[in-house]
Amino acid sequence: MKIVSWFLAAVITLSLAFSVSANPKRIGYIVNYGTHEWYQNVIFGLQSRADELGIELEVMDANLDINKQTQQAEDFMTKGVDVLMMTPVNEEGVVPILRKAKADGTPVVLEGNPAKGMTTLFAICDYDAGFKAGDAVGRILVSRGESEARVMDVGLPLLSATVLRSLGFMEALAQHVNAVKVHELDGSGMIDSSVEVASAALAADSNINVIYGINDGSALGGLQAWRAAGLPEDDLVVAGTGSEGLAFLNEMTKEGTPYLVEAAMFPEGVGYTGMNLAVDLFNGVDVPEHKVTPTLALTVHNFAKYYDFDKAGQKRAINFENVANIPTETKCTKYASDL
Amino acid sequence: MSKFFQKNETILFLILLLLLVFLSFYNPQFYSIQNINSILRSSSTVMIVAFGMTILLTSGEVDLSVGALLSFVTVIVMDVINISGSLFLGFFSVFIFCFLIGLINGLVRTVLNVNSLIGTLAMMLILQGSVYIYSMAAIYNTHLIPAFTFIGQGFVYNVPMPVIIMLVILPIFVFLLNYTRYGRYFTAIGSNPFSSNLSGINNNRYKLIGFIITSLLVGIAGIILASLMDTGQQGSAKGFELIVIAAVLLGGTSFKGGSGTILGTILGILILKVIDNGIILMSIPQEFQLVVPGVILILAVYFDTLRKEKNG
Amino acid sequence: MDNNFKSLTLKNIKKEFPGVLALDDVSLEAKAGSVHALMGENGAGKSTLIKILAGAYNKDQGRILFDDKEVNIDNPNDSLNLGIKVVYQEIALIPEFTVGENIFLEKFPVNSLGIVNWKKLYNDCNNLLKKIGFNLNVREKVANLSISEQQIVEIARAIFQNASVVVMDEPTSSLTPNEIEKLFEVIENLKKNNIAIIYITHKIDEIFKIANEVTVLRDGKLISHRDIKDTSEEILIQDMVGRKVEQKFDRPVKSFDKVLMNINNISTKSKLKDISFNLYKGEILGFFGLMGAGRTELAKAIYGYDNISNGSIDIDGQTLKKFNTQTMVKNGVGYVTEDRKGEGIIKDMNLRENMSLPSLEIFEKLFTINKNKEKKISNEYIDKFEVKTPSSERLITLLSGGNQQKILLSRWLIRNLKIIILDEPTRGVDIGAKTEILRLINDLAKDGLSVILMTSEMNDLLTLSDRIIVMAGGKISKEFDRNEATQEEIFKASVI
Repeated sequence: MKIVSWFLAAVITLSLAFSVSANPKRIGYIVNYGTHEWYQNVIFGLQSRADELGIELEVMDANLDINKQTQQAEDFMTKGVDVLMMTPVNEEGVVPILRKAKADGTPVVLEGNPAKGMTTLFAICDYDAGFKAGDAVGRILVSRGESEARVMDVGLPLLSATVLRSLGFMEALAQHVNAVKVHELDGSGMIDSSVEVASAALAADSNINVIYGINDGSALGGLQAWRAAGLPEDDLVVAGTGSEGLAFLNEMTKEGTPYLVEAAMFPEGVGYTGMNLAVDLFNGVDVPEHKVTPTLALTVHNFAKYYDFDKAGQKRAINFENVANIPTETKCTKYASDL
Repeated sequence: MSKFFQKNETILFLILLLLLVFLSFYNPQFYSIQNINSILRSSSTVMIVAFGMTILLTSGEVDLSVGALLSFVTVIVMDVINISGSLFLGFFSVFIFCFLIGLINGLVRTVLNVNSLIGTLAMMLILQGSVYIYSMAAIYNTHLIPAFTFIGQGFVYNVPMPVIIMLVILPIFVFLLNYTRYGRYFTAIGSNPFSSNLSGINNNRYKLIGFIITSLLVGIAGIILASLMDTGQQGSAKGFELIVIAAVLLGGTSFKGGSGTILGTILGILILKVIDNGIILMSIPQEFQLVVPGVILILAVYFDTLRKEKNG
Repeated sequence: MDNNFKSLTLKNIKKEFPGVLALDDVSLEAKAGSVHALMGENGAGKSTLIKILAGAYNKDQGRILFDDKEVNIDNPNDSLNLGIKVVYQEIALIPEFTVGENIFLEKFPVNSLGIVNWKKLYNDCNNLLKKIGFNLNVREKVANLSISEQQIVEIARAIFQNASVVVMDEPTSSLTPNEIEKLFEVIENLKKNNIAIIYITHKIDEIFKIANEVTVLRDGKLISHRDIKDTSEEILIQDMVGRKVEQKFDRPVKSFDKVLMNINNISTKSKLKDISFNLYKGEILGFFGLMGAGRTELAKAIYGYDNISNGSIDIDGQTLKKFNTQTMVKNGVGYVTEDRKGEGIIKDMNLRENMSLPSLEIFEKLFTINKNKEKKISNEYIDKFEVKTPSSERLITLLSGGNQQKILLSRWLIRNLKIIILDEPTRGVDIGAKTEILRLINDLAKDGLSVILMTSEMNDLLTLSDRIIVMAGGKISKEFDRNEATQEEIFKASVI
């Protein structure tokens, strides 16, 4: 795998941007679901980078409504933004917007999901993120002298992105130990549903030593179900995904918690990268079709390098520089089309 | 005891029995104490709210805002305890908030004369939106008070705490509906509001009380849920109101009011929850968790109508 | 229109409901181009007869002849196919449709593609209205029309449907004098168009204006059939009420001295105008009034169920201006509705629960209802009033009307009551139960209860009431003492 330093890329981009010294003035971003913690942090990253570059960023929330998103895109084009950024509500729905933007001459940058006719996309690699968490959990199990991982996967089987995460997790785990998926659950990505399904699953078979959650709510839901069942936590390893907000930081910093690994996706870093990509596109720099944003397995030992966590104030501050230094894939190992 | 064992309950009991037998053949783990606890724990929050909903539906009203309120309560209770470090203050603010919401629901129904199906739907939307005004981010447990964790996750003699809380509340409502005049009033108001008013009963007062009681019960269920999740989570408890209403209807309470029993409601919830559990245990795609209860609900209401027609 | 139509004849019609002979050997002939008036008190059998014509009820015996040919009317469709059209008091038009759309509802003029020819529709409609001598904007929405105009539209619909017989049930009850004149003109035009009209009314003066002949029913029997020339107001009233007072109760004339309740100038927004009267302790105060006189409205206003817009009530020395049913129940007033099914019984409850509903606090011991005491008392009343039921735990819906009524009366008698308002207490009750209920009312008054008795049964009214107040058009039209009231006088006062 050819690895390029994300930070280097950023520096080159930056210097290029400054040398041309024609930064976009106004950028519009349409988020698909702005009330979610993940997207709030993506917006925070976008805003942080925009502030650094002196760009005016305006954000609209489509709230999972493709019609609304289309309308908002037209509004942004009418307003004359220099670059339009958006997280598509659905892949087909944005195609007309892309066509219209092309006719209008507005460059478009997508986040998260690719769509037909797009120029460039910034997104995490779901498989690789899951893989990194699985790798970290595998190492912990090996260090404990265990030879088998019995996994409860609190997943979301309806979404290809989350299926990729679970797949990556299991495949990495299998490289270290004998990995068995005992429960494959649908926690709807919500903590309360996850508690419920995990409770039922654990009642049927609680011979588990790994809980994996496709997001923080799922992982925490699985862990809470474990606790509510009164099971011992000594031999358990819990891994979550996303580093969406404060959930994993709160849990991970608790004394004696089994929540040891987080497949961090650094939403703030996603935003930061995305803003750089938008600037590049505006300046006519050659941009990749898929700009992969950094992911990393975080543990209680290394998280402080990337997040300054203020537990009392319930705040976290990302260290953009260190996140930018994480080696990043040029291409995901597996995509939805590989499923 | 006449209300305690009517035909409908017998049918429900048989359905439940059938399910239990079927599932135990399928999976011997079904009767493990862990599984029974898991079913009962996840039933208890639904039951607590359903007690209130039974009263409301019996008096011919409905509250669709319970799910949205439940989710709001988890956020409030976690936040207030985090800030104040006091369980009392956390619970107190929850109950004040729930009281107000119930009061507003009731006043919208009785004073503004808005159909409760619409009024509480509006309240649901208001609560779903305003919880994000209260806090954009989920609220995590930073107070780490063990007593709070115990509410949702603790056990007393192998019985989960939420089940115990439910069992404490249960007799109050059995008593209220079966042995006090207020139970009669709710039935009369739902069965024939004109007649009950002509009998000197203040229909609106009791409807108001019904809405407030239901909201307060949501407060209790919300505290349990917050403890269980260890989080105050916006957007949690999705579809909770529908499960509650479906269970109450399945339990034989009429949507048009006039008949309802707590026992029926309990059986209705157990049936739905056992089905849920069976679907998870049998690794059937969980979409069926919605399909099966939907089908059962239609059948139950249909049989109930048949039974009533037969009785004249 | 079938111009050869000559007459529709009902011969020896008999119809029985459980416990009531609603029609007993009744005959009637409606001739083309003529108005046949049908009169009688409430419950005389007029609506039953109409419903048989309309196919809503089936006759038990008798024949229906259409131009001397025997026909069957088994359902509403048969009736419509014969060309019988009933215009009810409640208008059955679609408010959001235009006049033309309503009239042509069953048969829009369409072309081969099924597209409505609106021009033809409205032209035809204009012609039709012209035929019955009425001017109306055919493109107007029915919702914007007055009640009388809506009735005209109903009649026009009847004619469009090729009606031979038009039955009008109290068509003038909600019309102004001006509108009535217009309606009469339309009726004259219908006569010219060879249509037979059966016209039901309480208003005697109308009969002399438009009817050719008149039939009077009483208690389901045909009392008289006369040509309009051979009758008079006096004769008609005599025919309608002329029955002997059948049942005597031991209720001597006496004077009362203690006023229990004063009704002072009560009005409501909808019906009642300036009503005042006193109620004495132990008195039975009878109220008579024909349909629409405002009796039930008065009962509900006094009881606090409907809001009053003006006036006050004194009970036991305290003056009430704003009050609801709770206030009245607390003050010892009870109410038994005329609409037993809609406002009386609670169908999901058994006899005991129905009976104790307003008085649950009597049975309360530390928040708990003492069910044994409740059962004991309800059984006492079940025995006392000879309610036919195996137990107090039976659902009330399983009882007959008379037995339900006894339970609803007991509902109030188990508590400390001063005044009871009874609205048509014997309606829909079989003869046996009726006598028992009347005797009970008499006994209650003897024990010192004040009774406001609203009834259409002249017989009950005269045998039980100490005073009789007659209502008409939302007002009190006359008051009689027990010894001065006669059926004729009462009826006269009610048709003003």
